[in-house]
Amino acid sequence: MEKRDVVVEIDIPFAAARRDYLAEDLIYGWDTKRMEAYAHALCDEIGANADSFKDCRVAALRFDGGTASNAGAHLASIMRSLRNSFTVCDDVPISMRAAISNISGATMPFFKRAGVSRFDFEMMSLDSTCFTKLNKVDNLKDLPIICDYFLHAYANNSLGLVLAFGYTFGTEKDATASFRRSIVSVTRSHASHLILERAFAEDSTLDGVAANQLRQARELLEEAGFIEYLPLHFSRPGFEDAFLLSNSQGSDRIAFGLGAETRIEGVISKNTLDLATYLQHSTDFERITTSVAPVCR
Amino acid sequence: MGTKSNWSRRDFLKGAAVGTVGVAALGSLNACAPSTTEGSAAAAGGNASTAEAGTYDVMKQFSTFGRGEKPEAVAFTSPEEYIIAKGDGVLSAGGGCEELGITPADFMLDTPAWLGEAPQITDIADSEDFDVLVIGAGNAGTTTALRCQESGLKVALAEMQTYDEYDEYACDMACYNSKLFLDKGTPEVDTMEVFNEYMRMSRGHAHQKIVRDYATRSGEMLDWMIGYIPEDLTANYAKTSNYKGNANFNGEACGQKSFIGMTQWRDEENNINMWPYVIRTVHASFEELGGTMKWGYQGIVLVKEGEAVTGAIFQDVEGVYHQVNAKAVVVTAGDFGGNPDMRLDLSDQMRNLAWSFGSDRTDTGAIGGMGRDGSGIKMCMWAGATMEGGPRAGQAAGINGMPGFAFGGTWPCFGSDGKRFFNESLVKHGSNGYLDMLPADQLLLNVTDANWEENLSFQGYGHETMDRSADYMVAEVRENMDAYITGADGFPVRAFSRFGKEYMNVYAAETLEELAEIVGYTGEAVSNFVAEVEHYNQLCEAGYDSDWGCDSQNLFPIKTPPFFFSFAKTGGNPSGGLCQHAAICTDGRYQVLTGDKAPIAGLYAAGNTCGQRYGIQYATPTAGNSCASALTSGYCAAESVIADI
Repeated sequence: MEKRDVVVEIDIPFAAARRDYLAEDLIYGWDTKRMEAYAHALCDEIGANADSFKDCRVAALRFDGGTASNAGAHLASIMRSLRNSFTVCDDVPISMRAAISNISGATMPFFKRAGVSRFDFEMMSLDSTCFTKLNKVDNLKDLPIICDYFLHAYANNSLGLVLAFGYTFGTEKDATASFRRSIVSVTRSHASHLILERAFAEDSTLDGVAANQLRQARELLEEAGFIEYLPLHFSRPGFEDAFLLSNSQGSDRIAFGLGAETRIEGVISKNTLDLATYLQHSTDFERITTSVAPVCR
Repeated sequence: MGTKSNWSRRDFLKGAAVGTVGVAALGSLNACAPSTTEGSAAAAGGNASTAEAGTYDVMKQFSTFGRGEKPEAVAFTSPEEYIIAKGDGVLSAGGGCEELGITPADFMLDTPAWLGEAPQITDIADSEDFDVLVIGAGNAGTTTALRCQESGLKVALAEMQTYDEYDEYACDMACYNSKLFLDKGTPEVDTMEVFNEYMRMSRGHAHQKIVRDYATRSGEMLDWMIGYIPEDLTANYAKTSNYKGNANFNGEACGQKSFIGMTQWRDEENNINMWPYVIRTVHASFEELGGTMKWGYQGIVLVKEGEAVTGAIFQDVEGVYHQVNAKAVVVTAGDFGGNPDMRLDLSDQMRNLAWSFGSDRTDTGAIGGMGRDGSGIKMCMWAGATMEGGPRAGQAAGINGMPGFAFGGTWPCFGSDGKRFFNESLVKHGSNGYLDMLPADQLLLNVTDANWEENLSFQGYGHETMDRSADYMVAEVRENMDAYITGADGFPVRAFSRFGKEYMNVYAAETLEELAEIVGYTGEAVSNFVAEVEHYNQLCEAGYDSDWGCDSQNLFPIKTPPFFFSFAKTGGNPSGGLCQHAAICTDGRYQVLTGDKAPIAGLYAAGNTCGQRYGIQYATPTAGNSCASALTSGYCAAESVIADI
C-alpha cells in the first residue's frame, strides 16, 4: 500500500513549576504516579488508533505540549507503542521540548531508546545575569556537562535551545547586554536549532525592547550562519525541524495526548484538556474528542 | 451518557470533513465533556487550609500531587496515613506536630514513599545460574565482574542499556601512584596522606576502610584494568595530569591538600570523552574470559531464600521478566540522583537549601540531579539493607560557585560592590558551601592578567583549581587565549575536563575601567573595584592576604594587561548537580548491611550504590576521584566475593 507521510505530535503538557514563559493550562508539579498513568494512557491511545491510520507513515515526530521531557523514561514505552502501531520512517527525526533538569543517567538511556534526535532545552537565557530570573533553579552550569557527557552534542547536532527575548531585568541596557551574551553563546555552541519566544508577551510596554533584542539576535545568528526557516525558529542549514516545517506547511498531523490536535484530510479534532477524562478514556476517541471542525481555508 | 458509535475515529473524521457528521453526532460528548473550569489541565491553586487543629489539610499544603488533578487518588484520612505515604515530607516541609496531633516519633519512618513495597513478579520467562551476578555495567560493576571472572568464577554482568545504546558519563579518574604516572616521572604520592585528606574532608563521616581502599589501591586497580584494555587505546587516549604544569604548587592551599593522579580518556584531535568507548573493551575482555553480558536487563527486584540473597529478577526491553540466580549478587546500579522522589527525600542539603531560599521544599523541580534512578538502592533496601543516615553527600558540581575560567583555577573574586569578600582558595568545587547561600543577583567576577598561565602553575589538582590532564589541552587553551578579543562579546576558550568540547566565554580588557564597564559596574562600584585591585596587588606584594586569608601561593597580582575575566550572577537556588553519594551501608568488605548492621548473606554493593564513601559532601583533592573510587570499590568488592564463595 502506498503510504502517505504524516507528522506526529505527542503532547505531554507537564512542567515542573510555573514560569512566566510557560502556558497557563499546563499541569504543574512533579508526580511520579500521575506521569506513569499519563504515559500508559498515551500508549493506550496510540494503540487504539493504529487501525485508523494504516495508510500513514510517520515522517517526523515531536514531543511537545509542555516540557515533554518530564515524561522521562516513559518516552521509550510511548515510542515503542507508536512503532508497534504505526509505520515509522527509518531514522525518523524526533525533536522534543525539554528541560536540562530532566537529563540524567536515569532518563538519557530511555531518551536514546526512544530515538530523540534533538532536545530543545528551555534555557530561556544562556547568560547568568538573566537566566536565574527566567528560571527556577540555578542550573546553568549543568548545560555544558549535559552537552558533552550526555548528549555528545558535538557529534550529533542534538542540541537545541529555547531562549526568551523581550525582557528587562534591572536596566534595559543590562538586560539587552545579557541577551546579547546569551545569543553570542548560542553561536559559539554546538546548538543546531534555536527557538526564540517572547518572554512577557502580554506586556506591550516591552514591545520596543522585544523588537530591539530580536533585531540583534537576527543579526548575530545570521552572521553565525543560522537561517530563520520559520518565524522565530532558527537552525544551521540542513537542521530545520522536520516536524515544525511540515506542520507549518499544512501537512497532515496526527496528535496524541491531553489537548492534542489532529489535523488530517481537512479536519481538525481536538482532545480533551481534562486529565481525568483522558486517563480513564484515552482509548475511546469519542469520549476524549471535544471538538471537530474543518480546517479553515 | 450516549452510547458508543460504530464507526472508527478515521471514518468519523472523514465524515466531519465533508460535513456529514459533527461532534454532536457522537452523542455523548457534549453531555459528558466537563466545563473548562473544572478538572482542566491547569493545576488547581490549592491554598493552605486555615482550619483549626485536627482538621489541618496537609494535602493542600504539602502534597505535590492531588491538587484536584489525580482523580484516582484517595485523600488521606489521618495525619498518620499521610506521614506513612510521604515519608518525612511533613517534617521536611515544616509541618507542625501540634496541628497534626502527632509526636516526633511518628516521623521515624521505615518505608519512605519512594520505596514502597517490593514488586512481586510471577511471570518469569526463564532462569539462569551463575556464581556471581553483578547488576550494572558502569564503572564499579565492570571491575567487579572482570575480577570475579578472572578468578575463575562464572559471572553474569547485567546492564539495563542494550549493547547499542550503552553509554556512561564518566571521564576523569583519579588513581594514585598508577604506573601511568610513575613511568612518566611523576613523584610518588603518599597515599596515607591521601586517605587522611579524604577523611578530613568527610569530617570523619566516611567509612575509613572504603576510603582507604580507594586512596591506597586505586593505582593498583588502574594498572590491573589497563591490562585488559588494548594498548593502542591506552596510548592514544589515556591522558594523565602533567605534574610539571603545577610545578610551583606546594601541595596544599589553606591546609587543604591536593594530589596528582587524574587520568582522562580523551581523543586528542576531537577532545571527545573516550571512556564510554574504552570501557566497552573491558566488557569485551570480560566476555573473552568467559563472562556473560546481559544487555538490556533492567534489575527489578532481588531474590531471597530465607535471609540470603540468591539472585535477581530482570525485565528486558520487550517487557519480559528473567531470573538470574547466583551465590553472590553485587549491586552496582548507581545512585539516586536521577530520581526526583528520592532526591526530594534524601538530598537533605539541597532540599533545605531550597527551603532557606524560600522555595517550596516539596517541589522536586527545585532540586536537580543527573545521576541514576536509585533502583539499585531500592532493590537492596527491599532485601533488608539500610542506607547511611547522613549527612548525605552529593556532587553539587560547582553550581552557584565561582564562575571561574574555562581552564579552571582559583582566582581573585570581586563582588557586586567591586570588592573581594571571601577566601577564594577555600572554595571547593563540587561541594555545597558558602557561595550557595549567597543571595540572588550577587555578582561574582574572577580576574587575572597576562600572567594567567604562570599563575596556574601554583594551582593544585582538584576540580576547582587547574585540570592539566594533557599538554594538548593546555596548548589549545593557550592558543585561544593568545587570540583574545576585547569587548563585551568576549571570546571562546576551550574548556577543560568536564566540559569537554564545549567552549566557555572569557572576556578581555586592556584597562580595568574597560573591564568594569563590560561587567556592568557603575557608580561607586567602579572606583571600589579599581581601588580594591590596587589594594589586592599590595597584598600580593606582601605575600599575605590580611583581608581574607587566601593562600599566599594563590595571590596573583592583577597588573599586566590584557586583563582576563569571567563573571556571573548568583541565582539564589543552586541545582543539585551530578551524582548523589548517599547510598547503602556496607561493612569494610562491601557486604550490604541491615539496619542492625549485620551483613546480608550473598549481597554486596559497590560504586555509587555503596554509601559512606564521602560522608559530608563530594570532596575533590583530585579531580575525577568519584569515578576512580567507584572503579576501586568494585575491584576490592570482588575480593570479598571471591573469598566468600
